[in-house]
Amino acid sequence: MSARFVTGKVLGSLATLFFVICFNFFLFRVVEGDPVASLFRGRNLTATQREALTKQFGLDGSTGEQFAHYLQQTAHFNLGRSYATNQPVFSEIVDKAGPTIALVGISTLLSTVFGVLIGVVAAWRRRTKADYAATTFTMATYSMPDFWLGMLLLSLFAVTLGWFPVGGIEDASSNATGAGHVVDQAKHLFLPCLTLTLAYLGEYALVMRSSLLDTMREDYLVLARAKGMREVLVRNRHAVPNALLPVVTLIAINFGFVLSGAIAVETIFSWPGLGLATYDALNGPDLPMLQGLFLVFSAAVIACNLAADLLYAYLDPRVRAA
Amino acid sequence: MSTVALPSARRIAWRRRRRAMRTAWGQYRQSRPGMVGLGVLVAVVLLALAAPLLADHSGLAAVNATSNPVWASPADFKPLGTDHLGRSVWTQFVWGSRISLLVGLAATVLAMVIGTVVGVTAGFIAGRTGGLLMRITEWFLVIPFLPLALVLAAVLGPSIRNIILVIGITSWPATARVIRAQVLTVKQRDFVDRSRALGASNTHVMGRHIMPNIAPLILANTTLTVPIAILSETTLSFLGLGDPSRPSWGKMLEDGFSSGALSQHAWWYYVPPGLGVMLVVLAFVLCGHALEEILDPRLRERSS
Amino acid sequence: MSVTPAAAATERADEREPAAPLLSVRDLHVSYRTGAGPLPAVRGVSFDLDAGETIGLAGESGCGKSSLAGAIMRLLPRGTEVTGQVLLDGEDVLAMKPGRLRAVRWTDMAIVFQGALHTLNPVQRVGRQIGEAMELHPGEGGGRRAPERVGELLELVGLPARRAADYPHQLSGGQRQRVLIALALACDPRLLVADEPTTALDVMVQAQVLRLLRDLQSTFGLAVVFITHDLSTLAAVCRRLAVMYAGRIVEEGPSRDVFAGAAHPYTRALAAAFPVIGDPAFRMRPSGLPGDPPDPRDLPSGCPFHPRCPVVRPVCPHTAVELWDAGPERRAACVEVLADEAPG
Repeated sequence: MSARFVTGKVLGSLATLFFVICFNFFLFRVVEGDPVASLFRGRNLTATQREALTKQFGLDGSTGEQFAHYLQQTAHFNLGRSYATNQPVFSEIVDKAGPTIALVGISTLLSTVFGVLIGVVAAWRRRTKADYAATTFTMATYSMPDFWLGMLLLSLFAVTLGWFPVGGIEDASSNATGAGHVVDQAKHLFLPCLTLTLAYLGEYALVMRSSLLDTMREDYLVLARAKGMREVLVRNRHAVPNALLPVVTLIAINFGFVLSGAIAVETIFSWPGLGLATYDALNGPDLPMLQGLFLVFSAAVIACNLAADLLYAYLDPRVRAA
Repeated sequence: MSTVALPSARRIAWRRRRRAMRTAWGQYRQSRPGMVGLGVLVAVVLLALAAPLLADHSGLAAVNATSNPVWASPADFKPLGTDHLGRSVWTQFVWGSRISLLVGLAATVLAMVIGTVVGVTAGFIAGRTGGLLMRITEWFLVIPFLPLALVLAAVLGPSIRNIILVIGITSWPATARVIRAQVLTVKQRDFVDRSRALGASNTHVMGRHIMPNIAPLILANTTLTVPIAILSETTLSFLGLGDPSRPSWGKMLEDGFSSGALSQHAWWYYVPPGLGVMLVVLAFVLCGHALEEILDPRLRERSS
Repeated sequence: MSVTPAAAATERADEREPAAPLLSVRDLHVSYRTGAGPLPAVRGVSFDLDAGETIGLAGESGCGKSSLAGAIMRLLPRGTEVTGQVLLDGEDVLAMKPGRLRAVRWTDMAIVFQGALHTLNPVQRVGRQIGEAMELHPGEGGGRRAPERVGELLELVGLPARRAADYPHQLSGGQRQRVLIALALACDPRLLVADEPTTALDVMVQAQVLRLLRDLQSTFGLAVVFITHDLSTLAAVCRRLAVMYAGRIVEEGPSRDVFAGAAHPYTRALAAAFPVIGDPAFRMRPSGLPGDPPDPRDLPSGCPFHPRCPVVRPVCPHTAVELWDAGPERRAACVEVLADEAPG
């Protein structure tokens, strides 16, 4: 992969990021003429209060001045202070990023592995019972609202059976350290992780199945068989790697979106990540938090898209030539 | 001058189209998943339309439910029990189906209209305008849906109209991209060149050649966009951004969750709405796949 | 099971010993399973091929020649009905157990497909794909180290050895075809089935590839089954030729004799469309044979060619034609050869 190719893609992503930063500003200021009024809708503010708030949130001064101020602050990773906790938004986000990345990371890994496996089996044995079962199962999980699935799992395994905790990331009352602590967190992670895994498994399986069915019609598979290769090797060495290409990019892109899509699931399980933070910020409303989270989510998507582009170019030599 | 009146070119074209549609329907009928999906959709639409007959609208207001037991199971309170305020779950479910379907469909229409206009324009008028439109579309696709939707909904305020707007505004880019690709493909086909050589104007080419060739794609795309819109509405309502005065399946889930239906083991409150969403989405997906198989014959032979 | 040097192969042909043929196809039938019922593509084909001998199979699209090629190597889709025998050195390929079949593939018989872009794996370098064939059959091909041998093979087909690092999309059509030929030779097969190897190439490149095939055939004493719809290309490589129509052989004999005077009207029509290599204008001229090849599920009665035959006789729709003798080493499935002994 040429340096020029990579640089081009990176610059493109940075440009997009810049536009998102600008958009972020205007979204919160321009959509509603008086942000203070809309944010504190329903609460009666005196004129002095309103003036003070306006000043406090840096909402005085012309839009241009505010914009310049905002850009400058963002460049220094200063995303303002949360209304709720009065801590810097940036540090709040950093704290809460960990649980979300852990949850989304592990569930993405699992849903990818199982989704691909199911897709491969379904395609290789199309029109058999295995295929029908796999396709039905994946279509069903794909159709469910992910947080509803979470509710079902929660009510069955945590509330009714009591096998898993009902929420949170760890048992606040326990003093466990080291391995015990990890086990405790793992127990809390299990249900939300299972929910996200099942929710996204379906899409990967369906795409993998579709991609593999396309690949299976290719001539180079016949050639591989003619060389004397066993079916299993033909499948694993030629069909599946080629079929994986579109799936890989899908996964990379999805990862960026799932980060922000886990809001509802985190809410159900009270998982202290960025999703729950968004939910809380919405109910505030905590303007700087929302703005900061929005930026972080968008940046994550941009980064994942870039990774997907580069990954695809690395895997498929035809793209590099273009 | 002929004595026999020949049918006009337009009449012939329409006759051909009708025949094509009949053939398509014949093929669709052969797809069992497609028919099942269609059946489910028809059933749900009938349910929504028949809401006034099936449940009393007044039952949605908490004040009217004070005489009912709270958290009553379906065994005690037919047919689906009551919630934390004593309201009938069945009433909410039936009336909620209307909102869920309405929002899903309306938002999809909005997204399709914007997406088609942008997609066709970007594909047809290549060059700078087209490029700019595509840049905007690509960029929109980068913004993660949920945060954008949440922020817009929070700022605009909770109402049915706003939810439709929010989902429509966040969904059109995907459609635009697909449509533009198809317009580009069609534009390159020979008959467009020939048509132009004969002196066809832009509107003529657009209306007579491009549109009919992308119409099936628009249909297929719509069937796959509606379920996404419904899922989005459910999620947005669940997160508290739905219209508080109207029931919807997402709102039922929100009420259920926040009122503690889980700890009350009141499954009749949170299972039906989720199940309803799942069945409707699944039905659309099945129909969408059946349609895709008809439009793209490669898919048909591939699955046989 | 390594290559017999050219000398030995020629020697064998000269002696005309009645040694068992390398390939013996006996009453082969191929029928595809489709949604609309069985589709018979090959309806009883038999021919023999000695070691080092070449035979060309010509015919229009749909006559069954590619199905025949697939059947010989047992590469047809699962569920396709294949009956008859394909004897490779006396062993029936169709009855082989999977393990034996895999061992025999590529080491005894190899196939060269049309070099379209997706005949090779697009994300693997071509050298790797050639090397893979050798990995699958360790011990064949002289035991030299893989990259060396890959380089040798590429040079054998007229490509520089460094091309091994290229991806298929980086090669031209002609170069891809050469790679496929190099690949086919990787394990020193004795039989080569070439399925339309020059069809997608332009005229000049076609000539080069044909020359290459001819040279390789004589150097290594390969037995070749050369399949094409273009009769003219067969003359360069094949000593014998067989013309197929509607799933059966309708004429066979030495290429030169058949070209000089075809016994079957269909062959005559094909030969009349004999393009002059290097003259692109000739290809634009219509071939002069009216109608379309028959639907295999709904064949005409009697001789399947009679609806399109320029010299059709009243008896043709009612005669069950067979391959009758039409001269020394020649046979044709036409009532004409019954009437006059000498080929027209």
